[in-house]
Amino acid sequence: MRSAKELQRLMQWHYASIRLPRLGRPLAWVTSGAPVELLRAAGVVAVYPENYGALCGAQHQAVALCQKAESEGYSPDLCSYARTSLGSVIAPESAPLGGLPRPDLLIACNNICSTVVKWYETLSDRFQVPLFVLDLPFIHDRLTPAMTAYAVTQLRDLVTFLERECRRKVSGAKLGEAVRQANETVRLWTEIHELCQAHPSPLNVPDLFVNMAPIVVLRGTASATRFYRHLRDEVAERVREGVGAIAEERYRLLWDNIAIWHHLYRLFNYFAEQGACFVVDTYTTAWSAEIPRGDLLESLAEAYAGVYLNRSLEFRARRMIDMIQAYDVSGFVMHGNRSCKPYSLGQVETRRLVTEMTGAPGLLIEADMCDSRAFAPEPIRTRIQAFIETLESSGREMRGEAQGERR
Amino acid sequence: MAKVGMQDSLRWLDDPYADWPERFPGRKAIGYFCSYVPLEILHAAGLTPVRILQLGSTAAAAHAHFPAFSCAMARTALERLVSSQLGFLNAVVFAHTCDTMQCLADAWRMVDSSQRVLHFSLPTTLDAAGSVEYVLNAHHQLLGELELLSGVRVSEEALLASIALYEERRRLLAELYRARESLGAGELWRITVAGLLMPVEEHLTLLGRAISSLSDAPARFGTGPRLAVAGTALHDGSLLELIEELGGQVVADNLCTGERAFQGQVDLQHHSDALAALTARALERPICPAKHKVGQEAAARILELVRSSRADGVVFVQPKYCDPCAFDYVPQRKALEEAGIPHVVVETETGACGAQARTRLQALLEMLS
Repeated sequence: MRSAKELQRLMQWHYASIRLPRLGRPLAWVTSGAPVELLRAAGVVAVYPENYGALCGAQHQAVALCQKAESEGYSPDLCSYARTSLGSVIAPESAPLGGLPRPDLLIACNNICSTVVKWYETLSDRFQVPLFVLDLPFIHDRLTPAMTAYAVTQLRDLVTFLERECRRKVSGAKLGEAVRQANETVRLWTEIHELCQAHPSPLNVPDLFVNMAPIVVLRGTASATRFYRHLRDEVAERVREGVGAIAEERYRLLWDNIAIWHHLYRLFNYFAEQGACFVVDTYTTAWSAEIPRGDLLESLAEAYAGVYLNRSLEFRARRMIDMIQAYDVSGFVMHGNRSCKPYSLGQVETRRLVTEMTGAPGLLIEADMCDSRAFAPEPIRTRIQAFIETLESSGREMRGEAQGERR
Repeated sequence: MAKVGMQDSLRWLDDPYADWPERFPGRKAIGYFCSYVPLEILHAAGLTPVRILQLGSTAAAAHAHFPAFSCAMARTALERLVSSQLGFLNAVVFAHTCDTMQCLADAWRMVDSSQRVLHFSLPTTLDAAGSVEYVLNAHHQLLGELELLSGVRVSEEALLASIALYEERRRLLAELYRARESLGAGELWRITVAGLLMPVEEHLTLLGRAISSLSDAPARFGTGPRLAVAGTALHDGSLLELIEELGGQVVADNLCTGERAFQGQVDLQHHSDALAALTARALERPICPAKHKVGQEAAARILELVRSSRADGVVFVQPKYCDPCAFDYVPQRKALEEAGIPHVVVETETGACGAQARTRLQALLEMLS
């Protein structure tokens, strides 16, 4: 894709810029679900250990770093982003890019998992720097006024924390601008996803996994918005010209969970060889919540408490059912990710419900997002093969005329 | 060792759920998982809280619903639900703790929609701005849902009466734990865990009996190395018995099936009402590893446990796939090493301990002897 070069330049610029002199601006390590708009308004330089973990996983560097963490006593059963990150802190000389620059602050929001709280406690202890935990209650049923009030009170406290640590006021104008940029980015990212409803789909899920980096690490900046505008234009052009992501789209599938970074292309190419394209997924679409209008802190509270991983298994099953219908999906693959309990525990139940409601069969494969030691290629290939045969025998292949109609 | 002879009368702990309704007839049972659930409110609503533990289950292979990389407590609980062993519970209360319990709460209602699930939405950060108001609201919310469930309007008087019973239990348990060195850790574990599964009134009788027989028995002060046991829930007392069999003394623990289950008092004098006082206890108790609180970091917690009990060594009980425990272990181990306190880790999956645990404990005790 044309935008691949732009993406590469953008991410290289990001990882280079965080090492530049910051003229008094503190650098924070931030979890992927934290309200970064407040940090941008405070002038904080935000870096994302989870994105760094994905990068190490994709470059096949994560296992060596995980082993460094394990040699200090961290269990190999813990999240591999956390182990990779801790390994890069223990042995920066063996880490890609020499690890991340030392943080001045740590901001962890538990709307994606509880692991980040423990992981960032560990970082705070190691670096002896302040940690702010933003505690957003999990939504089993609905977001209650008490939950919103609790979140808003903490967001106010976060503002106070940032103003103290940055020795400057959090500017309302800058916050408004960061929110406007974030919303614009989210709208473009959503538009890009929706373009994949076309037959054939202009993108396959590895394209989405690779292109999601800026929405995580540069959300709320003009450079992210610019990148997604170009990407949207390119994807729209592919749809107009009927260019599909894979050679022959026979099956349209949904992917659930974080990518298996160390086998990203090998795994999805294997599907693609058999005509299976992943047209939608539950992970890259998780960054699709716009911050609603109204009181800014209340809006941030609602948007960040309502993220996909902070919602119930039933909510997620309903979301998958909606996606299956909207994207004309005939089957789904779930990654039982040893590293991510909140994403993976309960997949047996969501699979059952989704299949009951849609008739689409689901395949559950156990692996790990970064730790390739937990990946068994041959048994997984066999199971994928059997799954494709199921799709074929149940007549869930795309019909030619349907492809033509929907293009 | 002073034996109070509870082992035979508490044999039902080997499989506590199978005949619970027959054992405690006329009681309306409500299940719960976490020691943060305010039992006083459940009791005031006319319900008998029954903690769901791994007791009597070795369902290490039970991962039809949850994957093998989840803790055995969650897997065995789901297995019990599926096999209708928990049908006698009128509802189950989940307090927000770790990722696994969060998923279990959702899976519970998907696996068996006939059983009511109530959520006690406890924060992770117990000293966050706004946490007092939020936890107070969570108590009110839970009370409202329990009233709907039981059809009983719970008065302040009823809450105060229930609090009095549980405060009495905490007092008696504390008394018993002060005598732990002569009572025996396995026995103490049984008596404590029995209380998590039986009506509080009957548990008070049992505690009274245990205390009086203790005072009749000749006191025996141990001479072996003094060990503290650190972890979360201990689903089997055999590890504690093994420590004693090998010549050690268990002098302290921070388990939620042990000392931590009843630490902290309900201070009615300094709070406006029962729920405000319960809220304060929840926020001020020593924390579970899944919680976050400034001043109660992992290293500080283990050093305090050792300091307050004058322990010579520490036994970490690590349930396999328990992330909060696994994260805490590293700074705790480091803190102990810096303080010159020997320690071992015993990883548990079914609760019972095997040959590896024996070897490790032997090595620790030899080091300390």
